[in-house]
Formats: sequence, structure tokens, C-alpha cells
Amino acid sequence: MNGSREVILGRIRRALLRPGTGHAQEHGIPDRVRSTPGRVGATRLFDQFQEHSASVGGEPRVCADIEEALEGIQKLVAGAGYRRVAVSHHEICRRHRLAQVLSDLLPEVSVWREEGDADRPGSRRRNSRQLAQADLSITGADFLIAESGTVLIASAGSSRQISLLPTAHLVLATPDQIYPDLGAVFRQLGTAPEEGRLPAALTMITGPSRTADIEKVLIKGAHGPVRQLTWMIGEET
Amino acid sequence: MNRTPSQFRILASENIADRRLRRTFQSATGHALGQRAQSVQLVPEWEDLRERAHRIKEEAVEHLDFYLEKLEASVIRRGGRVFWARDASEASSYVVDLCRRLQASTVVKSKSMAAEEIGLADALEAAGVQPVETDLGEFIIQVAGETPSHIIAPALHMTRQQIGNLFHEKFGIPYTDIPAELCAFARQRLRREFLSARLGISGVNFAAADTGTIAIVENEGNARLCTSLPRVHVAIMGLEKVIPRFSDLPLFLRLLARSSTGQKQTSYVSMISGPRREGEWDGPEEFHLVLLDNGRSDILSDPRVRRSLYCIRCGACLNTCPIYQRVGGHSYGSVYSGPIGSVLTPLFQGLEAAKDLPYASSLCGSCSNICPVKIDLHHQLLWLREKLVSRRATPWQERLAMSLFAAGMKDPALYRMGSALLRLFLKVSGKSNRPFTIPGWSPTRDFPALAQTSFKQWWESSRQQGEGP
Ligand code: SF4
Repeated sequence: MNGSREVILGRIRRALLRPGTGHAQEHGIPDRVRSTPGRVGATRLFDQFQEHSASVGGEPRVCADIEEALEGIQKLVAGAGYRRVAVSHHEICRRHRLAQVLSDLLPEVSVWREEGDADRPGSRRRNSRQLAQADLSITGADFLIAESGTVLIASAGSSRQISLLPTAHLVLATPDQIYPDLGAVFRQLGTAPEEGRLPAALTMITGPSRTADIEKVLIKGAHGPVRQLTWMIGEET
Repeated sequence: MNRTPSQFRILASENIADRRLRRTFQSATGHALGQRAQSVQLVPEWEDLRERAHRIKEEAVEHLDFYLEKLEASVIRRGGRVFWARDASEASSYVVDLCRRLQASTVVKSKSMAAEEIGLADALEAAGVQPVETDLGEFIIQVAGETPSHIIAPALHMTRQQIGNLFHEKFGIPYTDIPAELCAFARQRLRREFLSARLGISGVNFAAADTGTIAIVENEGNARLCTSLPRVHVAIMGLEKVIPRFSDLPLFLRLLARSSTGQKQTSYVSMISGPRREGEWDGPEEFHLVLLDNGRSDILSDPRVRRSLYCIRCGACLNTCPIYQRVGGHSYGSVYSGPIGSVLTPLFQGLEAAKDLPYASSLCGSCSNICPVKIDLHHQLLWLREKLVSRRATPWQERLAMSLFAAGMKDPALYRMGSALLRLFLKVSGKSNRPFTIPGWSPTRDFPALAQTSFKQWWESSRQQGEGP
């Protein structure tokens, strides 16, 4: 807070011909927009997700179970010649003990996971250094948005860098995470997210990083991952 | 290169004469428009969305004091800090002071029109801090010592060969004009900067008052890097970027992505609420939000142009504008170009300093039709023209012609006499085909020839011959 605060607020109130504070109040905006159709099956939604994600260069697929996903990861790593894999702290990775299982499956690859005490600056620095060198990162998701092929990740579950620094980013998702559109996700987050619910960063990821700044030519992998993969584990029951 | 809005005529005619540049702008804007049209078509409720966005912006701007105070309180509650900056120098010195405190010799910066507007990069350099532009387009023009030519694609005016030569000369890498290789070089070079910088600077697309969340929209990932890696993050926003509620974000995100690039969603949207929280793996330890006035409260005081503050900087009005398509972004001599630039620049820098810009429009209204927040841009341009006329800022010849015209239009006898005299004069001088040369007008277009008879004469004679209605 500083001296200009009062000056600026004063100018605004004069400009709006409003003598003092307390005159403005909040009023809701009538929701004129057609509401989105009810929740259709997760499988149908994921079909839609796949279509949109693929259209922007993402690589979505369905895996029947975690075994199939593990097989897929082995192929992915071998195919691209990845040497370093980073696994996030996200619930789905912990549940399947992914880091452990992968180090056993891929002895020639260095598998590393986000662990330790995030509140110690030393651990955080080590984390960053590791991530900067990773070829592939594996994280979970918090929400999937069918309408645009978007993955939404909260900073509470995994770091921001793990989905950003490596060359490729693989998201493991589950059917309960998929929603038709962003509006539905926000309703889930709560219309007025109370203190504490909202993590410091919510990141929406739609396909790989890209740019068209040179003669409008589309290039993948401007600053973030060149490949963005989303695998849905388990069909809807 | 220092261009000013007062040079519009000169710059525009130079740029129109440059055929390569004209082709570049026409094909790029055409491409963007096509993409946009395709993706908008898929949203049947598009018009409803625009209307709703307009009303939300109206709510925010009409109660700006209320929502800004609310935003401030929310950011503070989330552990962030808020700085109110009256003008460019206050905002810049706040950031410079931050650099001093952090002993930062370089800072990484993602795209921010507000930072561009206040000349933050120059201020930092003057203070001995190296600001590194990290958006690919911004990086290119920073290396070239240029200024942006489009809100969304800053290096739109440059060819791949120019960029290849530039990198070859400045960085000593082997010449290449393959875009992917140029991009890969920039990525690698900038990675180093990201990993070592202590301060990251970003812009703000939307700031939700109720949660103190700022949203940053991008495709490359550089804004994510700027806001995740450095120890301190400072975000700079114009006052008008505040929106009432977090729950309004989905609407604006949909409108912005589709309007600017035709994407359903940009590659990345970061929604940031304060600094890193306990237990989180990364994120800045300090979060600063700079609220920039810099003339916005003045714009607010004129209800007729107040709506220009609804702008979400999507760039669609630039792409659709027949003037912008031909003269390009640099002709406007300011950070904001195209129709919205023609409105904002005179308001920010003073009408006299930018008096050609309100005329840089055919008044076709295409900008108003495309605007996702329904700003009536062409009306705003007309009002600015009206202001200029009432301040007698137009040339005396024009004023004379207009007052004669007004007198004639108000008095039928005078009108008849005037047009009869004119016809007689043209007949005698034998110039009926190309009646006048008017400086500034006739070199580029023909003055229409006068009809042989007046409408009234024609009407009466055709009635007599029984041809008329
Ligand atoms: S005035 Fe409207 S169309 Fe132009 S940039 Fe702003 S929001 Fe987009």
C-alpha cells in the first residue's frame, strides 16, 4: 500500500461521479447463457477430449489398466530414447508406486520422484535442478476438460515445473476427473472458492507448448514440453 | 526506433509503399480471421457470451473503485502485496527497487502490454538491470531493437530470413532460416536465463476481485516459467483488468482464446493466487501486483469513451480492420495499434499528439462487430473526431468547407444557388470530369464528377415526361 492509492481511488470516484466509498455494490449478472447439457458418460466425454487434444498436437489414449499404461511408458521411453524420467508426488503416482515400479522396469533409465520436504528450500532447489534435466515427466491431473482437450493441474498436488521443464509430459488421468467444459470445472471448484480451497497456481494445459511468432509457422515446444500425452486409465464402469 | 502517433500519415504511406510488408500483414491478418471464424462458428451461443462479457466488464468498470479495493484485499489475504502506481515512472521505479533489493542484474519478462506501455524495459536498463524478453516474438524484436507490430504477434513484420540474419549476427550462430531451428536456439538460450533469474515479470489478462487470482494466457510456456521459477514474481496490470468474480473467468477465457488465435483454449492458462503456499513444491516466495493507472482514471471520466476500458486485448479488431491490414502496426506510432489503438492512444497521450488516429478508420464498423466484449469502437472514433473538431484541431480548409456545406444544407435557396453556380463554373472552365485537385485527397482518389443536372431538375423533368413514379 502506498500514497498513490488514495489519489487513484479518488480520481476513479470523481470520474464515476461518486462522492465516497460504499456506494458501489456487487450485483450478479443474470446467467443468460445456455446451460451445458447434463453429465454424459465419461467415455463419451473422453472421446471428445481425445478429438480436441489431438487436434492441437496432444497425444491422448485410453489404457485399460495401469499394467497397460506401464507397458506404454516402457515403449515411450525406449522409442524416444529418454534417459531421465521424473515422477510427481500426485496421488495417482503414489498409489501405483510408479517411481519404484518404473525403476525396476527401466534399469537403464534414471527415475526420480518429487519427494522429501517441500518446505525446505534445499529440497526445492534440488527438485528444480532435477526437473531441468528430465526428458519425461509423469504427473496426475486434477480435472480434464472435454470441450477443449485441456488438463487442469493444481499446484497442491505436484510442482509447477514438473509439467513445464521436461521435453515430454505425460498425464495419467482417471474417468472421474473428466468434465464437459471449463464452466463445469469451475462450478466444482466452487463459485466463491473460500480461503484455502484454491491452490496458489491452477494451470490449464492444452496440448504441447507452441508458438507461431515466426511468419505464423506453427512450432511445437517453444518453452515448454514438445510432447503432451494424456492417458486415461480404466474405462468407465 | 522512435515512432510517435503524430507521424501516422508519414509512417502509413511508407508502409503502404512497402509491398512485402503489406502482403505480410494482409496474409497474416487474413489467416487469423479465418481461424477465428472457424472456431466461433462452433459456439452457437457466441452472441450471448459477448453480451454477457460486455455486461460483466460494465459492472467492473462502473464500480472500479469497489472492485479494485476488493482485489487488493484478496491479494493481501493470500499473502501477496499490492502497489498502486499513478503513472509509468511510479510503476517502473517500484520494479527497479525490487531488483535492487534482490540484487538482480537480469530479470525474465513475459509479454505484458502494460509493461510495454510504461517502457519498463528501458527503465530497467537505465538502472543497470538487463530485462530479458522471453516470448519468442518479443525476444526477436528486443534483439533487433524494434517495437511490437501486433498485440498478439509482436514480430509479425519480420521475415524468417531477417530473423535468421539477426541471430547469426548477434549470437554468432550459423545462419538458418528454418523457424523450428531459430525457435530451438531461443529456447535453449532463454532456459539459462530462467534458471538463474531472481525476478520474473508478467502481465495480467484478468484479475478476479473475489479471490485475488490473476489469469495469464499464453501458448509458449514462458509466462509459466517467469511465474514459477524466480524467487519473486511481479505482475503488472492496468486498473481495468479487474473482473468481479473468479467464476467469470471461464467466459472470458473462452472469448479471448477464440477471438485472438481461433484456439479453443490457449496451450496454457495460469491462474495464480498469491505466492507459493506451504507444502507446495515451487512458485515464488513473494508475489507483487502493480495496479497501473497511467491515464485510465481520466478515460473513465468521459462516459462516452469509458467502454474502451473493457478491452481484453485479443487483437481481433486489428485483424479485421481494413486500415490496419494495409498500414501495419508500426504506423500507429504507439504500443496499441489498430482500432483500439486509435481510441486508446489519443486518450492516453492527448488528442493533439495523435490527431490523425481517429481518422485512421473507414468507419465500416467491422471492429465493433468482431469485438468479443462488444466495444462500439467506431462510435468511439467518431466521438474523438467530434472532440477534435470542437477543439478546432482540424485544418482551416476543412473547417471552411464544412461550414459552407452546413450553411448550404440548412437553406434550400442557398443550396440551389450554390450547385447551379458550381455547374456553371465547371462548364465554363471545361473541367466537368475531374473538377478539383484537393491536396491530401485527389492524389490517391478521384473527386467524383458532378452530374449534368441536379436531382431536383431530373425529378421534375422525368415527371413531366411521365416516366417518374
Ligand atoms: S477492442 Fe475488442 S476486439 Fe479490439 S483488442 Fe480489445 S477486446 Fe479485442
